[in-house]
Amino acid sequence: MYINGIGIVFNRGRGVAVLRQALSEGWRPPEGGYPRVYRVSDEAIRDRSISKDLRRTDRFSRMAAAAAVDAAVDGGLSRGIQGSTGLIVATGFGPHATTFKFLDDMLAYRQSEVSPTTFSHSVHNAAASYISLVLQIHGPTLTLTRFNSAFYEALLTAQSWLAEKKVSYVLVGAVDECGPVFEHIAGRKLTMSGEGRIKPFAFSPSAEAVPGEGAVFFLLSAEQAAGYPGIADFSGNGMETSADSNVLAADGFIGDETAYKRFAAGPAMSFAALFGTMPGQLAFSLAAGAVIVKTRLVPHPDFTHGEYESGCRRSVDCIALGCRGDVRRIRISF
Amino acid sequence: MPDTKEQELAQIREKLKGLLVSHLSLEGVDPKNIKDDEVLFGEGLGLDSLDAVEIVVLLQRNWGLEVRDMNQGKKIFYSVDTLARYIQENVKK
Amino acid sequence: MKRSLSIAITGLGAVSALGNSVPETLEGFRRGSRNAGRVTLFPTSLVYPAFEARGVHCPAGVMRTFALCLHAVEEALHEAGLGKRLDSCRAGVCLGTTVASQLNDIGAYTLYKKTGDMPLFSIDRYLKSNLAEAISEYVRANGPRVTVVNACSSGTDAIGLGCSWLRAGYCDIVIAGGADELNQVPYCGFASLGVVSPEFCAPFDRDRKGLNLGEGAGIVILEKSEHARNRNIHPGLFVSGYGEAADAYHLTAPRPDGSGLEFAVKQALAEAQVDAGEVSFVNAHGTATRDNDRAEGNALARILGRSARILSTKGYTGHALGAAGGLEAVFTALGLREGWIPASAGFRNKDPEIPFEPVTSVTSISGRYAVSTSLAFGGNNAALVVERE
Repeated sequence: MYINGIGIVFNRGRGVAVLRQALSEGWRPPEGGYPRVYRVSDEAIRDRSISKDLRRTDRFSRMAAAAAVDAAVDGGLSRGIQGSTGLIVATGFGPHATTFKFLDDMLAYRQSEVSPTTFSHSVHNAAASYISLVLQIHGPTLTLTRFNSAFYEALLTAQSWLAEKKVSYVLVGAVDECGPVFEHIAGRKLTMSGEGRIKPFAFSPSAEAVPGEGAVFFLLSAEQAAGYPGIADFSGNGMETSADSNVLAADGFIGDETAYKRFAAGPAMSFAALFGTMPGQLAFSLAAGAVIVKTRLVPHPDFTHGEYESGCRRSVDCIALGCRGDVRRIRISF
Repeated sequence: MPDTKEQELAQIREKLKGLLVSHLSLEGVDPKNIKDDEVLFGEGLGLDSLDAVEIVVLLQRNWGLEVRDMNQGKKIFYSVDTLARYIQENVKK
Repeated sequence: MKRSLSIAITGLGAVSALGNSVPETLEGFRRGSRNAGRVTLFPTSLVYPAFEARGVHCPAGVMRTFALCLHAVEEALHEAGLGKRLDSCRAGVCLGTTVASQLNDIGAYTLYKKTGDMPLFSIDRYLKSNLAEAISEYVRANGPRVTVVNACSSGTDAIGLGCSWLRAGYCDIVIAGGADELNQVPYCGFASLGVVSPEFCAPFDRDRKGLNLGEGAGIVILEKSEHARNRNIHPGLFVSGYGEAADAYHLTAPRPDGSGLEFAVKQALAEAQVDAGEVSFVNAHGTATRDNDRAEGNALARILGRSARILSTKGYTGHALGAAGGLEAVFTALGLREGWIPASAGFRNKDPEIPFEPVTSVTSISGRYAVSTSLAFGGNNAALVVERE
């Protein structure tokens, strides 16, 4: 299957052009005091063209909708084919800030006086509902979750839908938000970096994290388009060979990152320091990798490791490790 | 204390307009520009079924009023004015 | 071999207010048990009856949803003859839920607001209860695993997703279905939406007043038929079709004409290569809300005609949210296997806005195909075609 379009919102802003620029510019510390968080600005997700449909939405749905709409536009998804377009949203923690807002309601008011609007937006598939509404997607729509790389299963599922010809296009993406309560939880469960910098090439047994948030979506189909690379069958078959270079999703989320070292024997990259620590890191790695393969961009040395030299990268493996030592690998290539 | 029933009604309407805009996230709507007889659903403010149940909550929180029967609700929720009159007539003094 | 017979159901597991196993479920259906009452699982000032599952022990340190899920998974694995460990085969886990995906521990949150510290115990309980991750770890499954959070169609979608994974060759076995606990957050949330009935729910009835919430878990073991036969298991039930369609209409209201559901059911029938006339019964979503039953009833009547046998089992289990699709897939398979379906509990009077009456007594079934439907929050519509050999 092929990437036809990409949409992204992250700490630096919105859109593939902003991503390209960030990949060239290198690392910047996140703004604000400790604990530092790579937050998405309200400006980046304010979208007048879709705001009427989104008047009630929370930041979670807005981030997802912005990235999904951009991916559809980037890939030229036109009206009239929405019936043959599927949608898969992957998230680690869902719209948790809205869940806590609803709990605030439950603590502040009688049980018969809580807000139905807040409740309905705290449901994990609210973002998918808005995306299908805004883009008028009538095909199968799924929201998937696990705490690490649900995006991998989302992509596997997209691949199976395209192979079965269930749909002609799949819009698949990852979204995660870092609200104040999760900032606290991250502080309890992860080793936070004092200087606000993720060090993916330290391969540390207690890797440091800097929480991030954002959304990234891909429009996928069986046809090549817009000069983007393809995603090879990544279900485990035929993955023995190595790619020209690896993108490591090492962002401090799993803690022990020593096992990443074996994927950095050759040229390696990681953009975790750009996006921040989050369950959807693999999806963000894929976006960066796809842009690099498409544009032959040489990323800033902040993001590369070892004998990384400028030159043609025709294939890239995006790699995320799970807590149980499982390897999730997605290959992009021409 | 307002001098007359009409003034009281005007005050309720004003408060209601503000609450509708903030509680229902009516982006870009200025409460001052909402007419007294503005229709709430479909045309007018263009509210929907989720807004309707949100207004139920708004009435409970702000005036202690319970609307259980949504058939009755349809008449009460017709416009800003009908809603304000319902509040005026039913709120416990 | 017919394509539709390629994915077998080799194990079933169910826990709900009807009982803690498949045999108890069948007994409950036969007797018409409606075990709803005032909520006992948490304190509440609301008086809406709910269907609680009794008798499943919930150990400390995991969410109740996980305990319910594990209970049904073990029953299903036992029936499939698979034991408790799946590390010797390529097994995937695909489970639906709503509650287990959220950190909605109100006690822990209260403490956080008072002290600025969330108890670690509560955080860990949440992190250990992502259904797919936790079940996958428990049975040592090494294939893909993900939790489907498609609100009320999660269980149905999880089964459909499992079928796609098997056909794509990602794994040979999938533990699929859904689980949810009765929890005070959705209990209050659904009440605020004005869709909960103060009485026992009455799906498709003229005077229906809304849904009752419930809880439980419904699990199917999906397996490539060939893989089952290689284990000397002769499968008799199959998932032959799955359809999913988005309304693209509204966050909380179904598209009034039910066209999204119609699309999903037609897709499922097409995938199964089955004509609408061959469907022996439909286990409908039938939540007993005014909007759902009207939209669903009209869509089903358009597809199947007026003579189709239709029932809702929500009158026995309540609406178990993320578990509903899993439970109802199990009930649909049981109907085909046992040759009978229960009465659609709660129905008394025909609604002039709905073109059919659901079945009102225990009814014999002889056909090969049945359909289970789910409509969800957010506008998801899902349908499964279950087949008996």
